[in-house]
Formats: sequence, structure tokens, C-alpha cells
Amino acid sequence: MGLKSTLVGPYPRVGSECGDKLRRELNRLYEGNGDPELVRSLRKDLTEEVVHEMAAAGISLPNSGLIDVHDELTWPLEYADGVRFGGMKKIFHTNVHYRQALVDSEVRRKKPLVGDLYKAALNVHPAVKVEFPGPFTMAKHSVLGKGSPYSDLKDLAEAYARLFREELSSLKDAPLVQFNEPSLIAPGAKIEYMGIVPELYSKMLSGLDIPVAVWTFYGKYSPKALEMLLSLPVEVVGLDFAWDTELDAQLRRGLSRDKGIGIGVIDSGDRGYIQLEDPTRVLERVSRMRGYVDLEKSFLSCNATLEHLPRDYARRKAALIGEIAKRISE
Amino acid sequence: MKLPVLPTTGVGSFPKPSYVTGSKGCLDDSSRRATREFIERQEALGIDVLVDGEFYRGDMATDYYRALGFPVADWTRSYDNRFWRKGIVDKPLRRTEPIQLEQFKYAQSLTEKPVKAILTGPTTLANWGFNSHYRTREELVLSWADIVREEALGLVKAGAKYIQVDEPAVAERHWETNLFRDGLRRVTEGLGVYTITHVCYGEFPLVYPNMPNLPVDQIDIELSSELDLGLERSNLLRMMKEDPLTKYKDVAPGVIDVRPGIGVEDVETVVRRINTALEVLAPTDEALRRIWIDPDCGFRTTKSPTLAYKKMDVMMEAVKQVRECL
Repeated sequence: MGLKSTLVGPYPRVGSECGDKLRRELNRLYEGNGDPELVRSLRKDLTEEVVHEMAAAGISLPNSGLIDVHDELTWPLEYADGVRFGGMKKIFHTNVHYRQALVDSEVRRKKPLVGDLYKAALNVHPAVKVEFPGPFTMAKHSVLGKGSPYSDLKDLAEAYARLFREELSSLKDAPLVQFNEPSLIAPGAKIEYMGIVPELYSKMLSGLDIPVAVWTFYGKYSPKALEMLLSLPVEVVGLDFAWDTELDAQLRRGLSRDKGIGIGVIDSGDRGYIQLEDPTRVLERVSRMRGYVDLEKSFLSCNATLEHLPRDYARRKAALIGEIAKRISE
Repeated sequence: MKLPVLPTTGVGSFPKPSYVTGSKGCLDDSSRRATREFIERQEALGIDVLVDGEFYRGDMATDYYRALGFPVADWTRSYDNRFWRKGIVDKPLRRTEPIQLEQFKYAQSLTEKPVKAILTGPTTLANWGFNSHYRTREELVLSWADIVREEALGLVKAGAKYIQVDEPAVAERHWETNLFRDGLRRVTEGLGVYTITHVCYGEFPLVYPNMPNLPVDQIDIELSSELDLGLERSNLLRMMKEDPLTKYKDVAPGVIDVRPGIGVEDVETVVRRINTALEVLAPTDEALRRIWIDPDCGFRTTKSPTLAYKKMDVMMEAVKQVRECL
């Protein structure tokens, strides 16, 4: 065992015969002419293809590629009652959107979030990470409707956490369940909101014996935010070393080694950089972390989804992650 | 040109009829035909300031990269099953020939009414592509602004009276509002015509306090879903009510939802949206005279010309009904 490697969020869908075919077939479906069975079958094939691609790149813990989600932020609410989708909003730093969730009544899980595509991923790789947007981030991107029984952000985030808690009880064999919480460190994020997060995760995970990661990206870490993240009752905290170039120094000053760190050091391209990182420099940077990060518990990764890159670049970035993790481990 | 109360306009694009074969910036015979038919339809509907439908366009950002000779990468996803291709700025930005001049001149030649000349803004062009040449965001955004400025000057010289700079990326980097404003200013300053910036699908509350400072005559803002939320639930509408943009600018609230999969609204819904917009933005008669009405965004995303025309009919009927009650 050594430094493990993983990827974050949806993987690029197009850029292969199967992905391009799925895009065209979905267009046909939306126009009323497509074949839902063919879409289902293509999604399964594409999931197997992208997980195979991640594994071939040397990623030790791939996710399922999330090739069916509408957007990164609110997709689990398609599987819940009490919510409908309202306006579309841009999120992050390029032409990417999410659907704002309108909460009209009590949020209830109506069907499992993890289904056939996760199973398809397991056909290809023995261990596949399960990944969701986090309850805090989802609540931040929701609007309370007139009929909503929830009074504020905390109330709603807890309702979403209950939704996930129900899901988690059926994911006992998952090697890692990851919650993405970019809103915790988004530029302009208010620290007072963050006070609710430790309790939110404690309640959601209480009594469950499942390894969990909370992943953050696209922002810089104030000492308070970092302290809060590292206090969460989870096994791994994913940090964005691509955005926050001074994060290493902060961690060096006082990181407890009981937690794994998601070392999100490879830039996902959201800010408009397409260049591949210099592997020697990344290797040196991560090697220097040995003194204060327990690399055995940690994962080398991209900071966020590679979906903002074309597939061929995503593949090369994944290979870079796999290769550097292997070299560090050696 | 004398305009009625609540003048009407479009935002830009329209779904391509099946006979349109060209794209990627090229004005071929099929896109000329579509432009002609669309201009005629808008005139028949009584729209005040027309748009050309952008039948020649592939993508609002990618076409600029192509026109300037930059490489274009493979598809990346925007949401659901919608993708675009990001261009890559790998050398200094330079414009050697006009990008949209011919298209504007053709559309304007078809009508006595003014046609808006529509450009993609510098921040959107910068954000929706890759950069491997410029060292800073300032250099990148302002270099794009110089390109768009050259284009705007050419359009003004060709007779454009309305220049719209599309900046849907307005809130993507809300901490860069000064750079956003500076880029826009570099495009619009001293043009001597009516200037507009169109913004859509953004987290507008993050940038609303800076909107009064934007160097344009009109802010055209996608607003239907916020108007449906109403004052009680929409943070943006509350901000607008507290400090109406009409104190500073003309405002065009979008009142027709153009997202994929959304059917044709009934007239009552659109009347309600307009009335909510007036409640928020038009506390005085003077403010009322600063309001224009249009759809949320270009109609291209509706995919169906038939559906888009129906939506335009509904918008015009709703405006008529609201005008009668004023």
C-alpha cells in the first residue's frame, strides 16, 4: 500500500464512439424519436468504458464516471419527493449550469440514488467510489418554497442529510462514499454558515460504519475553514491544492495525521488552463507532504471534475495522477 | 426612433429551420433565407428592435475562436446533454477581418426597423475557452475586449444603432467584477450608439450591486424563473425592489423561458411575470419608460422554430394586454 489515487465528479462523456453515440441518441430521445432502451444500454457501456479508462490510467479508486447526471450539484433530488427544479444557474467558472431546487414540501427519498450504473462500474473494477454532492452544498443551491416545512439552510441541509443517511445504509460495501462540498470554500462563502457542518455530518454518519470523504474545491482555505473541515467525522478530507497554492504551508503548521487527505493537486481545467502539469514538480510537491500528511491514508487526485476538459486531456491528466501516485508509493 | 411603452425586442438566436445547412459563422444561402423569414416574422409581430436569429452561428464563443484562427478542442459538457467546444488561445489575439459585419449588414438591409448587432463579450469569450498564452486574466480579458471593440466599431460604421454585448458569464467570477466592467467599458466606450449587455442564468445576487456601474445603456437580464418565484422567495427580486436598476439604466427583463423542454407559456403567466417585473423595477413613470420586454435568452435552445414562434406570439399578446392596463 502507498498513496492511492482517485478522480472527482463526472468524467467526460464524449470523445469516444460510445460517448458520441450516447450524445446523439439522447438528443433523439429529447426530440421524441429516441429509444430509451438503447440509451440505457449505451449508458451502461459508457460507464464500463470510462471506469476501464480510469483503471488503465492507474487510478486505484475510480468513481463510476457519473455519466448520467444532469449537473453536479442537485442531481440526487431527482430521486426525492418534495422537490422540483426551477431556474437554471451557472456555477463555477466556465459555461457550466445546475438546476436550482425548489423545495415545496417534506423531502423524501423515493428510490435509490445508486443503481445500475454503479453495478456496471463494479463489473470493470473491484472497488468503485460512490460520489454525491454534499447536503450543505445542495441546500445552498436550493430555494425554500411556500409549502416548505424547513425554516432555513440548516434545516434543509439536515433534510438532505437524512436522505443520504437512508442511502448510506444500503452502501455498506462501498470502499469510500464521497460528498462534494464546494460551497464550503467558495469565494465569498460565509464562515458563520460553516458552524452547522460538523453537526450535520455527525448526525448523518452516526452509527454507520462506512468510510466517508468530504471533498472541497474551487476556493482557498481560511484557517477556520480548514480547522472545521479537519474536525469532520470522516476518514478523508479532499482539499484543493490547485486553487490554494499556500495550502501546503497551512497544513504543515498543524495537521493531525489521523485523517487521510484528498490531495487535489492536478488542475481540472475549470479556470481555463489546459496544460498538463510538470510531473517532476508535482512529485516534489507531494513528496514534501510526507512530513505532515499520512500518505498511506490519502489519495492523489485532480482538484475537481475533469469534465471541463476534453476527454483526451482528461485521460492524460488521469494518467499523470496514476503515474505520480505510483512513483510516490515506490 | 419613437418607441412605445414597454418596447419589445429579441435576445439573438432562433432555432435553425431544417433547411439551414451552414454554421460556424458562415452566412450561406440557407442562413440568408432563414434570416429573411425571421425578420419578416418579427416585423409582422410588431417587435420594435429586431434581431437576426444568428442562423449562421455555431456557438457564440467557439465561432470567435475559429474566426481568429485558434484551435478548437473536443466537446465539453455544459449541463445535461448540452456540449460546446472550447477554443484555445495559444498566441496573441489578433483580428484580421470582420467576424459578423456581413451578417449584420444583410439583416439590416431587409428592414427599415433597427436590427441589434450582437457580439459576445470579452469575459464570456475568456471564460468559455482555454488560455495557454496570456499570463494574467487581465491580459486575456482586455485583449478579447480589444477584439470585440474593433468588431463593434465596424458595426457602428455600417449603421448599427443598437449594439448588444452578450455576457452570460457575468457572475462566473464574481470577485472579478472590476475586470468585467473594464472589459465591457473597453468595448462600449464612445461608440455613440445605444449599448446593451445581455446576462443570463447567473447567480445575479452576487453581482447585482455592481450592475449600476456597468458601462451600457441597458441591462438585458434573464428573469422568468425569478419572476415565477416572486418577491417573497427571490433574493434577486428583493434586491431589485430595494434598489431598482431602472434608477441607473434601461432594463429588459426576460419574461419568456427558453430552456429546453419548457413548453409554451400561457398569456396569463407572461402577463403575471411582466406585472411582477413592473412591481419590482418600475416604482415611477420614469422607471416604467426604462423597461423593455424580451425573452430570457436566444430561442436557439428551444430547438423548435414552431415552438419559438408560439412563444413570441404569447410574449407580444401579453405585452399588448399589459400596455392596455397602464
